[in-house]
Amino acid sequence: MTERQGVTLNRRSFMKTSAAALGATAASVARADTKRPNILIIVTDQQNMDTIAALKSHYKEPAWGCHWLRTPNLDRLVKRGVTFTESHSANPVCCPARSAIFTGRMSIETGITYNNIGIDQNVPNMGQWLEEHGDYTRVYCGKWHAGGQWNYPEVSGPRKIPGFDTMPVGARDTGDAADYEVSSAVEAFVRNYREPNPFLIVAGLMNPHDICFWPDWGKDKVTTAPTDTFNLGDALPPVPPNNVYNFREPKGGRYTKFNAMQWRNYAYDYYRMIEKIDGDVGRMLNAVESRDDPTIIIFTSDHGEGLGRHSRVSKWHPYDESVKVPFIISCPGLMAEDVLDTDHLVSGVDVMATVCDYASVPQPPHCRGLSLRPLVSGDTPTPWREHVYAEMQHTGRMVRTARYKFVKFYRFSKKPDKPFLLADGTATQFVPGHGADYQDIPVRLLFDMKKDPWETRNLWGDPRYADILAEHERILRGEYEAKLIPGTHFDRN
Amino acid sequence: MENPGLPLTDPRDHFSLNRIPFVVERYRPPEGTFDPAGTWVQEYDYVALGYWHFRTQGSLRIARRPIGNGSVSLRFDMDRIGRTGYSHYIVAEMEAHDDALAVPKAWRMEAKIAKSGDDPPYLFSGMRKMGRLEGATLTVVTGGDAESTALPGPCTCKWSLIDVAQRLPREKTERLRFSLIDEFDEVRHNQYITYRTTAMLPLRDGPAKLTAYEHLGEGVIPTVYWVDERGRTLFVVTGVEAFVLRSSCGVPAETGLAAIQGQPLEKLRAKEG
Repeated sequence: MTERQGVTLNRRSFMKTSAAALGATAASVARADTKRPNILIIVTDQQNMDTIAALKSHYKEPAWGCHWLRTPNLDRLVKRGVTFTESHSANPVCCPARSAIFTGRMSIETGITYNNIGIDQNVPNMGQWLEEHGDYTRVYCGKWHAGGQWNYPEVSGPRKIPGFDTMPVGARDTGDAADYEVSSAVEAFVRNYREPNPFLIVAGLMNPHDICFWPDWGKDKVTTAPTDTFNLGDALPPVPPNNVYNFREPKGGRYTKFNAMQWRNYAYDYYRMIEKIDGDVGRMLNAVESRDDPTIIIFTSDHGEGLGRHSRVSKWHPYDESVKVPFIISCPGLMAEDVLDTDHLVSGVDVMATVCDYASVPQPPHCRGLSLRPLVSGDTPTPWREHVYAEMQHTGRMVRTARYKFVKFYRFSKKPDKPFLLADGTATQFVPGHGADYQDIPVRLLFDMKKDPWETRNLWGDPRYADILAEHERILRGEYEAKLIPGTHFDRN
Repeated sequence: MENPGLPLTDPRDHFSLNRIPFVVERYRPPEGTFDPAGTWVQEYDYVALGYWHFRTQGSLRIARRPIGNGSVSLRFDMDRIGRTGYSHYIVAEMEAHDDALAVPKAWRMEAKIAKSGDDPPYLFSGMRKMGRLEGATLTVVTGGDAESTALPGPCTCKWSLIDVAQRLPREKTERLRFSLIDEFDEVRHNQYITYRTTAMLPLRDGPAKLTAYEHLGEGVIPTVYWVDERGRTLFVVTGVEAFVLRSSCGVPAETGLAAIQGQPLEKLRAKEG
């Protein structure tokens, strides 16, 4: 469904009518080709897809996050751009997801399949690639966490990001402490930059990741109240409808320490964190709007947050609350505005391809992403992928098609030096289930995402879905596992 | 300081202090008299309580001075420790109404990343803003750009709430409702601050009676201000950050924070003995 100025269109209708409805936009796109735009990428941490108030028309059920917060600046971004609701993290954990965003490769290929290791030295990041292929000024500010166990890059030394200059903020690893520094510094940069060449700047906001300190992990205790401590009453969001469910999964993952009121308090605080970053986003949007030259804004997150859905806190798992992330592209005057794209399956790896497209540089070798530019420009309809792939650290894989989500798990017995070498030492292709360190877990998940968007009924094992299951198995193995080139992790700590 | 009507509260059992019991138990407030409605300067250590180790993250200094005609001058100096020798600095000067919320009239603020407060901004990071509130219209000027926002009803600034809490009644009253001007440029509606409780807390030198006020609203992790009997906000606790009063009118507190830098929070939160 595409919404444009209050008129509801589906995506195809939008494309068919785009020439007339977006005549001015198309002309602007043509003009933009003569001057490459600045690019601002905003990456939040652990933000669910449904946490933007403007998306209430899409997420109608009151249990969705958009009904429990106020986000005027994210709403502004939605209104002035294209929002993709079928947007997936490439691997819903910080380091792996970020490595995919900033290389265009799947995390198995960057070598980062779990946190706190660095990108394969043979895989260029966005800064390095643009440094090699153009004259963009490249600046990074805020959370990086794709180069080792450290979150915030330094201006020089081993904790500098190759290919980027750094605006150094964030001594410690909380959004409370760092996010205003990031948005303030990025705002200043965007307002002050007057060089002749365009800039690419990344704002890595830490929140709402601070919610990770709310559950009791055993040593970082920040108590989530078991009662309505602040007498919030009806302001407390409800327990999600899929908090309790009943199907087989690999052992572990569910968080069982919260009662209903703790889940509700947890969600309340999480939504306040979203509102906090909304202010940060607004500060940066204002700066972009103060400039005379065009700036493309790409807004996304590395992964989502459990928020009590499937009894989960945090990420790592294959359900939508973990995998789905916001993905908005905006540049008023240069692309469609106020469009909700609910059809196209997009991924974190698409950021790199999109940036390359706008920067007029080729994509790096083996880039797995697709440029979203044709989709947001209102140009001729573009052939698009029919499935999107994600990894769950090194222990799971997911294929999402238009209607179904298929998930396969592996048990991984240890963290090796080179995560995806096979037992015989070859590394040309990744064949999970082979090699000493992998064991196939005989559990699969298959969800009908149209009939069951809260993912409460696992269709795996139901003979009526045998063909669908087989087709998704084939896609996973043939289109991804057999083709991806495993990387070697690079220890930069 | 004695109040036999109040039992001693273990901060580990308290809804806000359970994050910083080790701060409470090490803390000796500054000596000296204090007039919350008068001229004062207070300095705070800013600490983040996430991850595994305790560290001071920066400092906040607030100076308040009545300037006549129902107005006060407020100055805020904030620095947050950054990477590779750089920090983030904010300086703001404000004229506000001398009222319960210190409703702002006009302000100027500067922010930058730099090696010191005197050094030039690093990599285009310098920013100046001016704000003024005229009637129900808030105008924020950044560079050459002015943005006006309708702001009906009372409002205040985030760090002004340290001052506001110090002048609130020490008893349950109606919620004080307002809009918040966050970071001197972002408006957040539907806020309130109100009395929460009075508790006897085990500070370093013995029990002390402190009053808690809670602040809730859009974009705000519930925040609690702890004010002592002399009217000084000793602790501010919210989410995974806290402010701890380091000095008042030039008289230092003994916070004990220097001795626990880098120690695991789990160990610090555990009850000694």
